[in-house]
Amino acid sequence: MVGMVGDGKIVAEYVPVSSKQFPKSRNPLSAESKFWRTFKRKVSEQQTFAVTCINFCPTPPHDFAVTSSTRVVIYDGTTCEVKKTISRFTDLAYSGSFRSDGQLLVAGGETGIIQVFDVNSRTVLRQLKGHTRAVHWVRYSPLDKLHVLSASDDSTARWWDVASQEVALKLEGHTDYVRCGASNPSSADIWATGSYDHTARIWDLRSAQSVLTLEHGKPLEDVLFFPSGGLVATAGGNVVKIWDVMGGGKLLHQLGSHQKTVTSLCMTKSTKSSSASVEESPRLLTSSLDGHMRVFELNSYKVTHVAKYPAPILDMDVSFSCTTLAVGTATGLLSVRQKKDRNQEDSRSSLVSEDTKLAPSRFRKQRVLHSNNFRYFLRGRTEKASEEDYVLARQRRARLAEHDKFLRRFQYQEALAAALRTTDPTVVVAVVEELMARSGLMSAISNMDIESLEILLAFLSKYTTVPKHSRLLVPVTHKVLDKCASSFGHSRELQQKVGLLREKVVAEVHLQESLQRLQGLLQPLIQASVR
Amino acid sequence: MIKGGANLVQLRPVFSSDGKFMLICSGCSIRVLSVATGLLVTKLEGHSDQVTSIVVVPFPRNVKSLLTHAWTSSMDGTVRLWNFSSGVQIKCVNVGMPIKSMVIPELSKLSASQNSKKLGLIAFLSVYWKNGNRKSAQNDEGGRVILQNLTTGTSLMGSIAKVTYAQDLVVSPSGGLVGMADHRKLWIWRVPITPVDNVNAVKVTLLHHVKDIEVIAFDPTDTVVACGDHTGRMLVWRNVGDFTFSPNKVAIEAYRNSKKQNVIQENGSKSGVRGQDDASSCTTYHWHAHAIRSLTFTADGTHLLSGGMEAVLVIWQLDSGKREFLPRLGAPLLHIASSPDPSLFAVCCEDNSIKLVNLGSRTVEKSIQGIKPIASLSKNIEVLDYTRVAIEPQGGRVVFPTMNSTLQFYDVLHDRHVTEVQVAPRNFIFGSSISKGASEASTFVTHVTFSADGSTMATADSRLPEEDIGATSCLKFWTTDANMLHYSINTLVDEPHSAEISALVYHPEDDMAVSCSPAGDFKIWVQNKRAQGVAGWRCRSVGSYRQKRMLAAAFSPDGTLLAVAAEEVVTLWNPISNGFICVLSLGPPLQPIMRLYFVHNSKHLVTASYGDKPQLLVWNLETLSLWWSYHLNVEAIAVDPSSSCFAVMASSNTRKKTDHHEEKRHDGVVSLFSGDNPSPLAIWKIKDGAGGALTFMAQKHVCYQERQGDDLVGNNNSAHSNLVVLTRSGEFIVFDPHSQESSPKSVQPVLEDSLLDKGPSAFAAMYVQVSAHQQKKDDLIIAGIKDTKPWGDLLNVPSHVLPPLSKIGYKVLESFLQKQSTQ
Repeated sequence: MVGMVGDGKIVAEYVPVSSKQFPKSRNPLSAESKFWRTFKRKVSEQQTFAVTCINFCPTPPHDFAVTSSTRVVIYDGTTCEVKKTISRFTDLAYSGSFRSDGQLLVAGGETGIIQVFDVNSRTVLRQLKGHTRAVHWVRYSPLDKLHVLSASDDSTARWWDVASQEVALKLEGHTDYVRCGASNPSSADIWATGSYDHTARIWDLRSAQSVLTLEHGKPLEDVLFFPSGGLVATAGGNVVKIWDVMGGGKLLHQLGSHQKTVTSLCMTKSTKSSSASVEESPRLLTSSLDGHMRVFELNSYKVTHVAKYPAPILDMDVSFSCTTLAVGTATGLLSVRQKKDRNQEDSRSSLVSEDTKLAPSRFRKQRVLHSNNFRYFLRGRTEKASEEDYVLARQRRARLAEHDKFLRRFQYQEALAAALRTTDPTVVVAVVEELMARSGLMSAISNMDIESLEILLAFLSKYTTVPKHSRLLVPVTHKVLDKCASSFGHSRELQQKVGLLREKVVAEVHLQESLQRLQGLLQPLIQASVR
Repeated sequence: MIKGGANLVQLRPVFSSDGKFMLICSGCSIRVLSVATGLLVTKLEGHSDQVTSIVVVPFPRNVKSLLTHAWTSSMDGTVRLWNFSSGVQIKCVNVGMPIKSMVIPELSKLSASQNSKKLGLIAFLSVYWKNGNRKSAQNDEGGRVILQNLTTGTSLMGSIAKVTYAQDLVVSPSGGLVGMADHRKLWIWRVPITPVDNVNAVKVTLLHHVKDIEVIAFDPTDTVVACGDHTGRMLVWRNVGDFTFSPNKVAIEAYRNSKKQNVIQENGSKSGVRGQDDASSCTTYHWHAHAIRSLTFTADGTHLLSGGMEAVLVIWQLDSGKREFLPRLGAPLLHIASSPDPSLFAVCCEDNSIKLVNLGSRTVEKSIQGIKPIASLSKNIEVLDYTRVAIEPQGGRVVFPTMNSTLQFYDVLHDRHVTEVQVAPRNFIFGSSISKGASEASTFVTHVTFSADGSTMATADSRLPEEDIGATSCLKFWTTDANMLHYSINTLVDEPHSAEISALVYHPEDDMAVSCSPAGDFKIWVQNKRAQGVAGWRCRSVGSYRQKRMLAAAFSPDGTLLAVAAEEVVTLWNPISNGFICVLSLGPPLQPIMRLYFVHNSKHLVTASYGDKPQLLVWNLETLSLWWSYHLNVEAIAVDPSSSCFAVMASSNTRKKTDHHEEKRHDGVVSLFSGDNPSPLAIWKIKDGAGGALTFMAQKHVCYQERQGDDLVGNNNSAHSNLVVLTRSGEFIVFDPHSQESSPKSVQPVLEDSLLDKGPSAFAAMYVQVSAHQQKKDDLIIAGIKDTKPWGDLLNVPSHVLPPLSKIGYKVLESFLQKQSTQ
């Protein structure tokens, strides 16, 4: 008895070359890392001086104020272009921040005078004078629009009544510069300030005194209330500490993953997102003078994402919708990264589709089609199959890639050239392997034309030293150099490419040597430590 | 005992005159298949040697009874007439010489059937001429074409052609011409219309070419001859034999004269025709890059089909020279046979399949798939322990790697192709191997193994380097669906080792696999259970022993022990804790071990080494010492899962000198051993079995298949596993090695297709085989010591009857001393 295969698939279809797959990295990108990577660079601007403060406006479109040298620059929240510049400062300005409605902006300064501006007209509305030294931090009260809390180098914090330009309360207790503060999101009367005397104090404005002192141990650069209002994060030195304020100032966690002083803390807003991949729970963002921005998730306080900036970061802020991330550095570089807001696009496209939905109704009452109309011949094409119809699936011809078309015709040289044009290493490697399996690689690389040879050399110099490709590509590079050496003299560009390849290889050899040296250094140490 | 599998593509298949049956020659029998279902209808058995041609008697309108008659010729020197619908032999004509090919032109033209009734049916036979066999003037060896009267059973005196080697004969569709290709010459005979009584009545003409001609074909009008040569060119001569075969005497004379005068103008006018060949024109067509293996004209003579190594069926329109293609038929084409249905052609592929091609729709309508040839491995890696064949645990199908890196699943109990899995998706490219001058493909599957429940399959495939670059191997894990038909890839590991994979074994209980390589390391792979979704595989641990080449590995039956062969020693490991346990080693001379198996239900480990002195070694795991050994060139070992037996296949190169030609045969010897006892329990000789594969199939599969309602020959009562032997030529045999019933069967006279050759009397044969491989005179190096305790049953008594210690102590010490002296 002999088996029978009776279907029509006996004549095999051409099997296209599938691009080479490589194992995923040991630590695959977490969903969160992917999320943060979707922030694309929008603006990268050089300010005249270090960016000391970035503050997002609480109201849409979430403009943000960047304080640098003697200016506060307001950027548009969506386009990230400069909207307004407030430069009415006689000395360095600090801490330009918006009122909760976004109408007014308050800023401190080196002079100790706090100024309140109208955002639209840029006029100075009020000047709060009282601090004897520089005011590095000032914020509007988040709930009422009438008060401002400021922290100054004269070791006091003051609660101002803006309308009357009077000091309502003077909070005394710190013994050194007060450089940071935070408002409690759950209670308007509770504020926290951090000072260079290594403590953070929680103030109750109703009693006008410090209710709690948190001993951080390092000069404080930033404090932050958690959205619940029960926890406080303090940054000082290279550690961030999480305190339970409700539980009497108990230290909960200590995050020590930065190398240098942590300068800024901020929290993404807890968004009640549904479909979009924005995370549900808030995240803590920390930035440091070592140029790193780290994202912590708040259950186990693990780092979920790290971003590196070229200069020490002084301040950063993330927009309320968690779509824009602005980072200011000590060299004056302002880097704004923005996520494409999918919701906005969706809403826009849905609007468009509604428009188009409306459109056919106008054509609906068109009269019967006649053969003098072109659409007569197209009628019924878009007809959907009804329930009882027998549906025949259309046989789709597989789309073949360019290199597959050549491989099918046994044109190996053209296939390799087509694969190289894709500049995708996985495709090129797969085609090279297929050619090897057909014993056609040698015929493909010998007598290559100059242009493809240039691309091939560029590809090889780029990927030969990549570890996952090198096992295959190093021998291929050898063969290419052997077979094509005669044609290198024809073109100056080719010579350059070969030179580049040589440089890459030399650099790689140096790297390997230094790695070996390092290994030799480490091995005795490791062995000693094992004993 | 179940025998099965066959080479379906040995000869061009022949259709019956109504087109309902197809006659296929396989070995010394002829299979009659139904064209509609592809299933076997009947089997014609009677020839004692290779069947070489089949001629179906056509269906004359007036004679109904001849509907299902066929003539066959064979190397055993007989021509037989069969009724192939009933399977009965009607007539046997003894020619006395091995027949290479036979055609009966009379049967092609129905008009002549009346004449043949009177004077006999004349057959053209191409035979191997035997020395002094016939009282002929020429006494030398070689091939002859002779005429044989099949009705009377006598042959006409003399021969019509004498060649150095017997060649295949081809008859034209109308029966007017018979042709034969001999190297660079084409012999073409005109079949006389009037009955002949002597060989000189057959007119002949010769056509010449400059390359070796592989195949020839005639068109239906008897004027056009096509041939294909080994470089892939196709030559078409027109108006062949206009002068030579002309009844007009004058024309013949004129032709002869012109031949004598060697007229140059005539050569000029005959475009492309070489020398004085009798044809008006010769056209060359060239598409094939390699040898053309088959040519056939369509029934109307306007198109020519050609096939060759490229696995492409080319359809030539002869007038315009245009061609169309039916590509990717899977394997090189060997034969193209036309059927009574003008649009249907049978195409035989090298992968042992017959494809029925509808020329109208350019589709393959049906495919009849036999056992594909087991993939041949490259010479330089052949020494590695490649698991050639595996049993799929669920369905009991035999799985083996075949060409184009495909695994074939074959149901041996029903002799049926089940499915196939292409391990490395790749197009079949013939050219890749021909350029190297080797027959093996550049990519091939080296290992296949299954988990105990059959839900996971692990495969290893490898690619040969091109100019020493790009050699790679790939480890793949597959998961299957519920009915074990579709395997989907789960994990793909590129280059798991820095060299190729030399062994791949699966843990008998857990989801764990071990691969090892000659680079000197083995890796333990486990399923990554923690990951959500599809659980992939990862390398859990890597082990090595003194950087020695590791060529074989095995798990103990309970899965607690892992044995890895590190060059010439066996290392034992704990696969769970990765702990190294101990080393089993012989003294010098050491031979590298390439096969390693645990014997089930016993304390033994069997290994096979290769090298100058190949050995079969059996170790005792309780004493960690060698138990017994043979000098034996082991080709394959299979371990019985249900008893403490194992079967060993050893090869023996015996040169069989037959009458007409010398052929080198690689017979295999399969012997069954028990771990305790060095003397084999049974020995069988497998004809041409070397290079084959051996495996045990659990009884449950056989039972399972029997319960499905098939009456099989298996021994239902025995609890033993059945041994499956698969030969390189695609035949297999399944039998119970323990039962006594199978032994008598195997003593039966040796037929060419019978695999089992020797019975119990083969003991002597075995030792003859063994001595052929060894230089030393002793067969057994170390005789088995039956009892592990030298003091015997002395202490196996209750303590109150135990003799005093002073007495026992002496005995025990004495026995120890004895043991040492024996060693």
